[in-house]
Parts: sequence; structure tokens; C-alpha cells
Amino acid sequence: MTRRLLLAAVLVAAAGCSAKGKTAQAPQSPPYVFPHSVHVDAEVACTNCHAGIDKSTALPATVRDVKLPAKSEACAGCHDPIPKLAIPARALEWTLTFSHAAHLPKVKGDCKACHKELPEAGDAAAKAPPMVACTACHYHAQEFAQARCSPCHVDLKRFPLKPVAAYRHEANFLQTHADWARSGAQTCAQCHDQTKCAECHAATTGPLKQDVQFPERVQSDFIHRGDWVSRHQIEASADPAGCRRCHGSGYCRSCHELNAVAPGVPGAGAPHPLPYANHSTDARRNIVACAGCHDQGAQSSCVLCHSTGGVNPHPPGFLDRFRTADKTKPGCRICHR
Amino acid sequence: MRPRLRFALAAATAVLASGAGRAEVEVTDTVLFRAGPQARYTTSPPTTDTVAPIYELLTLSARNVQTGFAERVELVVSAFGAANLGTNPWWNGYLNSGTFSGDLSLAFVKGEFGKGAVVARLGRMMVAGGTSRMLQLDGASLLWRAPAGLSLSLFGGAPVSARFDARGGPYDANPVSGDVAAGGRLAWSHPAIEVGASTLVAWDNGSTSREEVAGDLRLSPLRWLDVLATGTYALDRSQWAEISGSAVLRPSTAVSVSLDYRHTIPSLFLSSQSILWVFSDGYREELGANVRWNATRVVTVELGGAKLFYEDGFRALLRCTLRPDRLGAIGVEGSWLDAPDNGYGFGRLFASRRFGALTATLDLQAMHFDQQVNRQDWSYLGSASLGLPIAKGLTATLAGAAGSTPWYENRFDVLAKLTWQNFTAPEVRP
Repeated sequence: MTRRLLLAAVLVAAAGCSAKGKTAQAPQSPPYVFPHSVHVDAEVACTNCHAGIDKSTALPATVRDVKLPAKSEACAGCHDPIPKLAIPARALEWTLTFSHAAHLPKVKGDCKACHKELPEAGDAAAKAPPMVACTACHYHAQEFAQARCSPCHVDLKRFPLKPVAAYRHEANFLQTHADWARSGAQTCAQCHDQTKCAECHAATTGPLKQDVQFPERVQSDFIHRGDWVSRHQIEASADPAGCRRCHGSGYCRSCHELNAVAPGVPGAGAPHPLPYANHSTDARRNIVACAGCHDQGAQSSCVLCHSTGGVNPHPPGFLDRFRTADKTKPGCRICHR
Repeated sequence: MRPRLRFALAAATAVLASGAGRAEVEVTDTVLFRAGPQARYTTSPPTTDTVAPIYELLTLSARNVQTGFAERVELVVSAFGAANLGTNPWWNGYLNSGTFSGDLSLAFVKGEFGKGAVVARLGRMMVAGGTSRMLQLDGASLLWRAPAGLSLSLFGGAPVSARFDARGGPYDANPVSGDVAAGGRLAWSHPAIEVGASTLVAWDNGSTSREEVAGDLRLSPLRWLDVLATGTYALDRSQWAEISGSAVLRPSTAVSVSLDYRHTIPSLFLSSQSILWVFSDGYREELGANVRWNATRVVTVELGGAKLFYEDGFRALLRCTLRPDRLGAIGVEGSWLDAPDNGYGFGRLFASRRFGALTATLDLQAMHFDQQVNRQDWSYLGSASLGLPIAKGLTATLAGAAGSTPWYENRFDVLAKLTWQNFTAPEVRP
């Protein structure tokens, strides 16, 4: 029942979204029809046509924010007869949140303070004030630091923006992006959906290696590109923590069991000599390699010899560090019953 | 899937469906078929089976969904389902030896409140920031951007298990390996500095399996310089699990340089309930530098390397990419890893080119091992792909790979995929 409910809800949502969803493939807005420059030169007040702009608290969704006077004495001064002009609707919504009502008093009603350029008849795109018009008054440094673009920008993810300055993702970004994300995850989220992160970081649930799923992305930095199976133990020895950031012991063992290098599997062969004379030295150096097959808690084969009364497995200094440690912890209780 | 989670997901989706009409929706749906060999080492001599799974992969982001209960609502789903046409494969991290597989990487609802001051997520998500290390979590997270540059984020839930299997325990594929996890980060940010303190605690079967606190720092004193530093301390084991620092310099628009230092104690990345971490006193330490130089509009050179300190070694990378026009690129890459147990040299030649509507790629790789792997010195792999848009938003890709590796005397793989995207200007992707 619940499964059907879930399926139905997802289908309804997807249908609703795809049927009405606006995408970047939406048609362009029709060109402008009004010659602004002539009227600005004639010192026609902007509010003659844009009446009510001083009360507008948001950019309208699909209409151009203009109300031509029906019978304007101002127009009649120059136009005889007054030309009929139909203002076409916008096809695209604005992607900014902006209140003219809040801003006009601050520039004392001088529209030119921000609108340095105006669209002319035939222009396809609006000549909206650039962002520098905003930052001339609002430094926005705090919003930038906190990655709070959304108060003004409705959505940045729809634009294929080229990252600037600190966000160029250059040099050793494959490695340093973790450090960036630690302090700036919200900044990352301004441009990237979590679906982007999950392509690599959902290692627990992901279906495929990235270079298998995206063979066409030959320029991308994929950590496990190519014959990773043959070199994974070399990389894992050089940086064991690198593996454990994304993969738990269960991940390693599922493959090791399939390939019969895990204990308890029929026909299994160990990747190390048996008996393993140097195992203590290797375990000291790289215990994560051991965990790929032997991390079974109390069932671990290590316990057979190293439980209390057997061979003390702790490295030098361990007991000093844990002299006051609580030995009732599950990990300790395996041996220290 | 647990019934409670299914119900919550269904309810959230149904609520969102009513307001989806004005949403900005990005959908990528891919049907992918691949066939190739998979070795079976449980028999003697080992055999090779052909696995031929077919996948359906869906990612959906619906943003700016209009609802009455939040200013900006976002629904994100990323999932796959798969069926196997050959012998049963290893399902990437999960050996269920079944014909079918499937999983949910993401399924969350995000809402913003108070002009973006509060951001809440509910469902299956990735938790980033602080010491969470991109934790995949079934639960909830909350971000509060407080005045004066302060922010507080909190999260809690159950670390995701593979294929909805039992959570926690030594068989968990989730790196946090617990059945409950919670944490948060308190930060103060300024344009030139950000300081954060974070914590992560995980429990497994009622006892803690991980207790960490961490600090992070970002300094941006100059337009061309950023300094990042982090430190993670394992409370339950009284040791620093990880210390890292990097400086990123941009002396010109054509050159970027990074200097990195990293110190890790790998055993502390294991659960504290594991018996194994008590055996180890190993650590890893690396100091490296990387340079990326856009020498001309056409040529980019990347050069990097690091010294490995714990056991003498190094890693190095050199890559040169030529982009003569907007139609394609060709690159050559070499990397080396010299580590005590073994090492390798890796060479690669890659190219992509658009021929009208058709896009072709080529990738040739060769690797030489310092010490033999499965009695082999070399590994060779080559792959090629052809991509063709066949309808609006619909792209077909055919790819093939052939190789001779230490584990396969020769292997051939084929892949065919059909990808539908409903957008032409997606969020930033490589």
C-alpha cells in the first residue's frame, strides 16, 4: 500500500513538474517595442509610463512592468495621433527578487542611478542594471561570505556560470575541495545540487564507477579512473584514510568475498602469506588494509590470539593514552571482558 | 525501505506535487546497458563470467516549488534500479547475488524560511561541512544563518546503508558505520575569515562508534590568496584523526597554485567498536604543491606532486591539455606513485572531438607497476565513445573498452546509454 502511495505521489509530482515546469529551453521573450532613448532625450518622466513603479515590491513574473497612459496629455504634446503600441508579455520570469518601492526613495526617484542603459525597439534582451549597480551601494560582502545569494537571486543553478576567483576550482581542487566544503558547503550549494555531490560521494548507494557511467567525460578528474582494481591496494597503502572517508568495511568485503580473498569464503586465498609472520608490523603500519577482510568485531580472527591473556596487541604508548579510558566500551569489551 | 520512511517520502512528494507547476525542474533519466567480464576466483582455476546489467538512473531536482509552508522548497531525488541479463554481478559495493538491484542516493525535501535565514532538509541527503565528511544520512538537517555572520547547522539521523540493508555493525558499507549519527557546526564568517567548530557523534547498537570534534578555518586576506586549515580530534581515542592545511594562490588569471599538507591517522577512521584500531600506530603525512597554468588560450598545463613522509615516497602528476577550438580537446597525462609496498607509473592519452552533431572520445591508458600485481608488470586499457543527440534533450552514447590487465588477460566491455535531460543550461557540471 505504502509503496503504491509512494509511486503515485512521485508520478504525480513528476507529471506536474514536467508538464508545467519551466526550463532553460523556454522561448525567448519577444523584442522590445518602445524607443526609450527618444523619450529620455525629450525628458519624458519614466513614471509617465511606468506608473506605480514606486509601489512595486517585486519584479512581476511575466508582464513588463509598464502601464502606458491611455490618453496621455504628455504623449499628445509630441504625438499626433498617439501611436498604438502593444507591450508584449515577457516569456521568461525574472530571476531576481527586487523591490523598486524600497530602492526608489534611496536614489531620490532618479531611475538613472541604476538604469544607465535602456532597451530600444527591437532589442531582444532587457538591459537590466548589472550587478555592479547593486554593489555600488550594497557591498554584500557578508552575504557573499555566507553564500546568501538567494535573497536577491532566485536561483543560480540554472545558469552555467563560470566560477570566479576562489571558486575557479583550479590547481589541486580534486583534493582541496574537501577543505573548501568543510567551511563553505553552503557556498558550494549556491551552484551545485546535491545530485552533483552524490555522483561521487554516494559511494554506499551508487550504482557505477564514474568513468563507466560517463565514458564521454574524458577530461574529468575521476579518482577511480581506469584499471583501479589493479592499483587500489597501492593507493590504499599510501593513503588508507582516503578510502575510509567514503567506504566502510562492508564495501571492501563485498568485493573481497566475491573474489575469494576474504576469510570464510570457500576456496579463498589470502593476499598475504600464511602463516603471516610479519602481520604485526604490517598491522601497525596499515590496519585499514586488514580491515578490508578482518573487521568483524568480536568475530574477527585477531581475537583468537589477542584476547586478554594472549599477546598484547597495543602499540607502545597506547596504554599511557588510555590509562583512564573506559574499558566498558564495546571495542574494549571484546577482549577485556 | 522502512515503512515510516516510505510514508514520509510519499507524503512530502504528494504535498510538493501540488505546487510543482511553477518549479524549476531538472531531470536526467538514463537507461544504461553494459556487458563485460567479471572474474570468479572461488573456483580453481578461476573462471570469467559475462555480466550484463541494465540500469535506469534518475536524478530530479525541482526547485522553487511553491508551497504555503516555506519560501523556497526544493525536492531532490537520485536513484537507480537495475536488472541483470547475464550471471549475477557484484552490485558496486553490495554482494546480494541477486538478479535485481536498486538504491536511493538522495531523496530529500528542502525548505527555506525567513528569507533564507533558515534552511531545513528532510529525507536522504548528503551532509557536508565541518567533520561530517559528506555523510550520507537518512534524517534531518537544519541551518540557521544568524545575524552578525554567525551560523549554526545541526543534523541527525541514520547513516545510509547499502540497498536498505541493516545499518551499523562491521558489515556496514557506510564509512561512519553506525545506526544513529548526529552533529553540527557553529561558524562565524566574515568576507576575509571564517572560523568553524563542529562535531560528529555516531552510535552503533547503543554505544558510541565515533566521537569527533573539529575546527576549520578559512582566511582570504587577499584577492589572490586563500588559506584553509582543518583539524579533527577523535575524542573517544584521544588523538588527532586528521590535520590538513592548504594555501591557494592565484598570482595571475593564468596561474593558480596550491600548497597542501595533510596528516591522518587511518585507524581512527575505523569505528571505535572495531577490534582493529587498537593494533595500529601508523599515520600518513603528505606535503605537496600543485600548479595549473593556462599557458595560452589553447594550452593548459597542470603539474603537481607530494612528498610522503611516514614511509618515504612521493606522488606526482603532469597533465597537458590542448583545446584548439570549441569542438574538442586532446590531452596527455602522466602520474607516478612511489609508496613502500608498491608503486606505479601511469600514462594516459585522451581526446574528445565534435564532428557535427556527433561527439567522439578516446581514452588510452597504460600502467606499469614497480612490483608485479598478480604476476603482471603492466596494465593496458583503451576506450572510445560516440555520442549523438537524437532528439531534443535525448542523447545516445555508445562506448567500448578493451584491455589487458593483471586480472584479465584480455577483456572487452560494451556500454550503450540513452540519456534524457529536460534542460540545456544545467547546473555547473564538468
